[in-house]
Amino acid sequence: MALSVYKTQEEFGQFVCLHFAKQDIPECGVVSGMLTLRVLRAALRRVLQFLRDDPACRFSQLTDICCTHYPDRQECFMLTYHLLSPLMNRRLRLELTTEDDVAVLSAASIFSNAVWYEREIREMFGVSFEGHPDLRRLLTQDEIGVYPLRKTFPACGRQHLIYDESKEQCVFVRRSDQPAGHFFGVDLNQEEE
Amino acid sequence: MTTLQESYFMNIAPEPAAGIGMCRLVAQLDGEKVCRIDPHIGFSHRGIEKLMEEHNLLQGLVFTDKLNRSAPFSCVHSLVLAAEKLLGVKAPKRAECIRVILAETGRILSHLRATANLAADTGTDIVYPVVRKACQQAYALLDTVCVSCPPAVFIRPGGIKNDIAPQSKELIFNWLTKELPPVLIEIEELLTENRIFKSRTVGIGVIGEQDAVAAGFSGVNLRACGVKWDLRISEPYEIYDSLSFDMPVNPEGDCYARYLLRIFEIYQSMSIIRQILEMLPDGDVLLPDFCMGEKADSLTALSRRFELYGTGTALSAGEVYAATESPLGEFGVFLISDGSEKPYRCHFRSAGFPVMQALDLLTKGYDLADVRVILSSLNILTTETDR
Amino acid sequence: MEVKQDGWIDRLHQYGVAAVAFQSLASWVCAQAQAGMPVSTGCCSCFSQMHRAGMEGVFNPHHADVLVVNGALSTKAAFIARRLYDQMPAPKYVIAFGNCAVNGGLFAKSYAITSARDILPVDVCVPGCPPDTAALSAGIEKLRQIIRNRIRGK
Repeated sequence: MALSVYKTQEEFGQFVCLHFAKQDIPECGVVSGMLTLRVLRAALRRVLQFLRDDPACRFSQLTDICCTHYPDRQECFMLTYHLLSPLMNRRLRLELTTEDDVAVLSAASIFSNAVWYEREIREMFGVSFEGHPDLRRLLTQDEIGVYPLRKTFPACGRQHLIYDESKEQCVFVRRSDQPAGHFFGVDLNQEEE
Repeated sequence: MTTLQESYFMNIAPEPAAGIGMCRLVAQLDGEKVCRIDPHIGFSHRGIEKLMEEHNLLQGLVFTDKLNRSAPFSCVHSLVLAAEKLLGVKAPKRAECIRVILAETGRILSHLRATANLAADTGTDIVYPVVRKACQQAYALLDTVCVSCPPAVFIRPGGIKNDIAPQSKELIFNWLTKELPPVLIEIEELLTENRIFKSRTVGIGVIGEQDAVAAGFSGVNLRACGVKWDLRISEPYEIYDSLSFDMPVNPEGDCYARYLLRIFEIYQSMSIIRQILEMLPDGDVLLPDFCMGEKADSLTALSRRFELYGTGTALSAGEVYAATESPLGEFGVFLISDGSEKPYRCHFRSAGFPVMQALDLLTKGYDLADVRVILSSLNILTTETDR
Repeated sequence: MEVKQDGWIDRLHQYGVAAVAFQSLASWVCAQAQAGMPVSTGCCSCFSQMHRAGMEGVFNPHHADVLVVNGALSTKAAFIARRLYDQMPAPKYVIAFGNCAVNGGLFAKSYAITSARDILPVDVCVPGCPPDTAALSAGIEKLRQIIRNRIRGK
C-alpha cells in the first residue's frame, strides 16, 4: 500500500529533517517501531503543516495528542502528537516539551480535531495553548486550579462532593475533613437497619 | 443562515447516547434546523487514565475493560498489545487465534447493538428485543467458552488466561450457522428496505472523505465515507494477515451507509471466526513467564503467584503506541513505562472522542429530529469517549 | 434512617378503621406501581432490566417515583442526578444499581467519582458488577417492603 519512495522509516525521517533547520528537529529516530521526531516548540506548526501538505508525507489525520508530566524535569510536560497517513499507511510521532507557564502553539488551525485534544490537555495538565479558539473545561466540573493528571495530584482527588442539607445544594468538601471511619463513601459506623 | 437574534438555543438534555452513557448537547436552532451543536461530555469521566498509573498492568486490564462494555475485549486488546510490545514478547499462536475469535465476537455484539439503537431512534423499536435476545445468547456462549465468568481479564499479556472450553468449537460453530443468521435476516428484513427507516437515514448526517479523515474518524464511520482504511488489513496485528476477508467501503457517508457497513461487517466477522475455527492450532495459550503453574503447593510456586498477581510484571522502560480496530473505530493505547510494574502514563485514544467533536459538522443544516439518529448511527459510547 | 412523614397517605391512620383498610390497599398500590427513572453514566445500563424486574422506565423526573442510579456517578453527573431527584414528586426513592453507584466500586479511588450515597438518600443498594436482573428484582422487592412499612407508619 505504501506509495512512498522512502522504504524504511529512517529514510523517511531523514527526508523530513532535510526540510527543516537542524535546531527545529533536534532528534529523529525510530522508537519501538514508530518514527519519532523531537520538535522545537516554535517549529511545531511549520512541521505539522509540512507533514500534512507535502505530497510525500500526506499525514492527513491527527490521531491523538497525549501529554505526560515529569515533575522533576525543567521542561516538565511532554506533548506527543500521533499522526497517521491513511494514503501512505504510515504513522509518525512528534514530541515536544514545554514548561508550566509557556504556551504551546495550537495545532487547531491545521488539524481541526486538535481542538478537543488540547482542551483536554489544558484541563488535565494546565498546559496553555496559543491561538486556541476555546479553552473551556471538557471532561470535569469547573474546579479552578486543579489539574488531575499531574503527577503531583493524588488519584483520589483533594475534595469530594456531598449534599449539604442546610444549604440544599451540592458542595465540595476537602478529603481530609471527612469523619473517621468514612471509607470510599461507605460510612462504616452506620448500623444496618 | 439567519442572524444570532433569530436563532435560539436548546439543551438536548443529558440523555443516553447510543444506549449507554450520558451526554449533553447544546444546540443552536433556527426553527427546526440545527445551526450549531456544542457537545458537553464528561458525565462518564471516571479518571481511568489516572487510575492506570496507580495500579499494575493486570489490575489495569480490569479498568480498561470497563471502557466499552458493549464490545467485550476490544479495549483490553489494545492495552495487551501495547504491553506485549513493551515486554518484547509474542503470544502463542493458539492464544492469538482465540483472541481474534473473541475480538470478532465482540465486534458482532457491538454492531448488533448499534444497529438496534439506530433502529430504535428511527422508530423501529421491534429490532431491540431481537438483538437483546441474540446478545444474551452470545454472552452465554462467551461465558461457556471462556470458562471464567465474567471474562474481564481473559485476554492478558502473554496470551489468554486459560484455554477455551473443549466443546467450544462446536458451540461457536453452532452459533454461527444456526443462531446468528436468522437474527441477521430478521434485522435486514425489518430495516434494509424499510421505507421509513430509509427516509430517516438516507442522506442524513453526510460527511465527505476529506472531512472525515481530517476530523479523526476511524473504523466503520470512516469506511462509510469511502476511505479504504482498516487496521486489520492496513496494519495487521495478531493473525489477521493470514486470513482472507473483505474491507467493505461505502462512499455515501450517510447514516444508511454506516448501517449497511455494520451489517456487512458482521458477515465478515462470521467468516473470520469460521476460518479460524478450521485452522485453530493446538498448544499453549499462555507464555510460561506469565503462567502461574498448576500447583501452588511449594513455596516457590506461592511466591511466584504473589509476584505475578501482587506485584505484577515489570514493564521495560520505553513508550509504545498500539492500536486495534475496535468496533467503534481505532482504539489506541499510548503506554509510557519507566521500568516499574505500573505504567508511568497510559493514554487511551478513544474512537468516539474525535467523532463526538465532529458532531457539529455532521448535524449542521439537518433537522433537530435527525440529531438523535446521527448520534446513534455513529455508535458513540460515552464511557469510551470520556474514559 | 429517619423517615419523613409527608403526603396524605401518611396521615390516613388518624381517621379510623375504614381508613386503615384503605391505607393498606393504598400502600399495596403505591408499592406496586412505580415508575423508575434511570440515570445511566456507566457501563451497566439497566433500562431493559428494569422492565423485566417489574418497574416501568420513564425519562421524565416529574413522572418518576424512583431514581435508579446506575454506573459510576461522576462528579459532573452528580449535580444532574441531584437536580433530577429534586424535581421528582414527593414520595420518592432512590435505588443505587451496581457497585459503582453504591460506593464508587472499582473507581472509588478516583478523583472524578462521587458516591451516590453522598449526594442522594439511597434507599436500596443493588450490588454486583454488573448486577443481574434477579438482583434488581430483589432490590425492587426490598424497596416495596420499605414503602409498605413507611405507609403503615412502622
